[in-house]
Amino acid sequence: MEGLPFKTRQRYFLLLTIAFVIIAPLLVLYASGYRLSRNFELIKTGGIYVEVPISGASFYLNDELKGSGSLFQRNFFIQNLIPGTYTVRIDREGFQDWRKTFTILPTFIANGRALLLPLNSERVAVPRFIVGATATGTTQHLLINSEYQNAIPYFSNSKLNVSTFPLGATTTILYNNASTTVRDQGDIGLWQDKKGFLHAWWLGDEDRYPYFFCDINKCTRDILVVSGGGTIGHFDFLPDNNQFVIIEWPDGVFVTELDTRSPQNIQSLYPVPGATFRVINQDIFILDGGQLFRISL
Amino acid sequence: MAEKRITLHIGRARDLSGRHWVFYRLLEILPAFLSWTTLLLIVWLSIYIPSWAAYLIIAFSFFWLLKTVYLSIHLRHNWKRLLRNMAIDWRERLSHVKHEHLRHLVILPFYNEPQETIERSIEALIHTKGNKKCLLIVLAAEERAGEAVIKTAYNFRDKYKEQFGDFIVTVHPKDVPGEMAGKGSNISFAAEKARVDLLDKNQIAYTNVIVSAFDIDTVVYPDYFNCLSWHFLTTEDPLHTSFQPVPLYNNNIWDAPALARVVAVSSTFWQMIQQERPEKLATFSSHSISFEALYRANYWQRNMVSEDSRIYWNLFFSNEGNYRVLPLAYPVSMDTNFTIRFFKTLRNIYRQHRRWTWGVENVPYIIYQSMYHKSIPLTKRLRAIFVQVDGFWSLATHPLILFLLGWLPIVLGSPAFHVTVLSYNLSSVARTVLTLAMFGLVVSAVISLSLLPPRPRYHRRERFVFMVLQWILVPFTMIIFSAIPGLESQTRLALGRYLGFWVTPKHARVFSISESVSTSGLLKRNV
Repeated sequence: MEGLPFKTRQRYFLLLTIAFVIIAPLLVLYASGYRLSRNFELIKTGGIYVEVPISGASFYLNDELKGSGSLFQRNFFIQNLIPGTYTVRIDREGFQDWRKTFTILPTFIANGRALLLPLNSERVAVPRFIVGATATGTTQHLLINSEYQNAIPYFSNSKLNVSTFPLGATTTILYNNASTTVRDQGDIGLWQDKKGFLHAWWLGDEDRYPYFFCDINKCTRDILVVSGGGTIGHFDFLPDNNQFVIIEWPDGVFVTELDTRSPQNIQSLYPVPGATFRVINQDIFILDGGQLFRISL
Repeated sequence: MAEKRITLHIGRARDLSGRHWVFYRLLEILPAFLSWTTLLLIVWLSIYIPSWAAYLIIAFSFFWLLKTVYLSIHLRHNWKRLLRNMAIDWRERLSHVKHEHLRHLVILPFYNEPQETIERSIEALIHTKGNKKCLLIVLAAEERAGEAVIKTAYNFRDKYKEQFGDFIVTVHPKDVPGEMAGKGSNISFAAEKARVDLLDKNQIAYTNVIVSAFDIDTVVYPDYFNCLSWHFLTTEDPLHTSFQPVPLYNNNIWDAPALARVVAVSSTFWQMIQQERPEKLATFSSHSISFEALYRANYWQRNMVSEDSRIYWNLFFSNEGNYRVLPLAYPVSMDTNFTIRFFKTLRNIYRQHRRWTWGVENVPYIIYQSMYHKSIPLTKRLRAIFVQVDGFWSLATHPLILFLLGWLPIVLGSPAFHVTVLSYNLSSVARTVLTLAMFGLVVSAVISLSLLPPRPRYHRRERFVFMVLQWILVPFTMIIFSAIPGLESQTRLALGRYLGFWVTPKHARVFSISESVSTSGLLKRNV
């Protein structure tokens, strides 16, 4: 038996080279979002990617169910969308809905991060005193709860000041315009102007804007987070997150998202008038009429 | 002639001087320059023009898929050819041509390998078909291995001398100026000693002698010398031809861990593929060659590591391009590289592959020689250069691009890139294409199973399953035992930190010949 003849090998080589020349550019075009329309025209498409924090949520595009998340695939990605405006809804039983209108640009993906707070957040009471036993266990005493004792001082405004805010050219402007408090997390600062409006400010490099600081035309350093809803008592980032902000309004504690693109979703965290909150060591504490709660999301 | 020989036997830049040194030194830097530039370019593009990097990676993944298809066709053909050749009665075929005048000079170099390994190789020679009196055995010991080892060699000679046409022991002296301690200097010394003590003494014409330089763990299949003789006698211009068997690493493959097996069989497969592309084939490991050609080239180079492939280039240039390698598509069996300790096995495999990829030292040699051998057609010289440069560049860069750097645009790209469809599709398109390419592994698994020797009784039947599943390790082995040692070799060459010869430790369970070769699956099925 002879080896593979040179001419046969040449034919294979030629065939595969032709395959490469034809298919590789098509693959690149496909990956870039180009599709063939029904009229056999090459069109540019875009897509939507939504990060979902919980499994089992349903994804609706223009009110049409497109899929449900699983334990291993919580997020949604849909492409081949003709440029235009699309409304996305994410819902899951027991959680508040999240809606967003996206403008799809050719060859671009619109990103979103769904805010899905439970309809009834789990709250754990943190009493001032707890029942303790003596060393012998024969008698019981009321002991001061250290968690309560540690948390309560945070509810005085003295714990919130500008000292944690990074200083720099842009932050100096913020500082001068800020009327009350300033918070920062992951290169994003939150501040209130003298009118009481809440802003988010991108502190990072100009070429590193997060997508939620950008709309279809341009990116902006400053997002107006809240301009209404009453006087803001307190605000802070949701723990381990710099895209969602907890806000204390006169009618309770709510969470809103930072997003310059469309109306921001606002969901209730503790909708009880007069309640206030603090984020302490990545835990959310609610103070409601002298009672302290820890909230689990 | 003497001056030309010295020029032909350049080991490294320091063997030259003046502008020749400068030129050769630049050529030594070239492979590392190409590889590192490629890798850094991907990184740079990923940071600054991530979309270009993504285009490149997608196109490259598809190129890899097609390359897998192309190489699989070669592999499959050689596999069929190898099985066919194993089934042929070469002795019968040889009987139709005049062959009695041929002598086989078998050189078995060793350092301090276990006696069992040496004995097994000699026993295999005894078990070959045909007239054993045509076999002249040279057991090539090293003085630096010590008296006890040399004594062992003489014991073997005394034990087996009567079985062959002749059996001599050579002891390569240590610390010879201008030589590198290693296989090349040892077998060259042995060949010259054999010339004087065996060939000249018995007035055997050099043209009638085929030299087989075997690694000491080489166990020949029974028809190897008949097959070799037939090819030697029937091929056009045998004195300008080297003969390359397929190295199977079957001696101890059932005992080796999965990683070692995958690496070993992958090496076999690469050689099988190259056997179907003889214009790209250079001699590797155990090979055969006419003594006449070898003598004219002043034997293997003594001053470098990759003497097995270099001898081909020595002969290619000394014969002004009129030299080739004839693939035999007939196997020899060798040891899979492993020890009883897993991490030591990994280290040894890495070192072995670093030594193999040190073959990159041929790149400057080939380019340099091509400049001074203008009688060789330019296209032939350029092809030789391209094949070598491409080969070493590919092995060092392709696995890294495919399995590691493919993610870089996503990791390093700007936020502006992160919101493109391309960014989201890059990983899925590349992954899909690579998954398709992985179907080539199915071909590999099937072929590897068919090449296995019978399962030793002390291994359970379930081990067959692992012999298939082991192929999922390929991406890992390609990076750890191909790309990284390849890059290290090239970088060492570029920096002038030359590699010395490293003797691969042999750990072979003491198989008898009947266990390792004579009753191998191949032979059982085909003979």
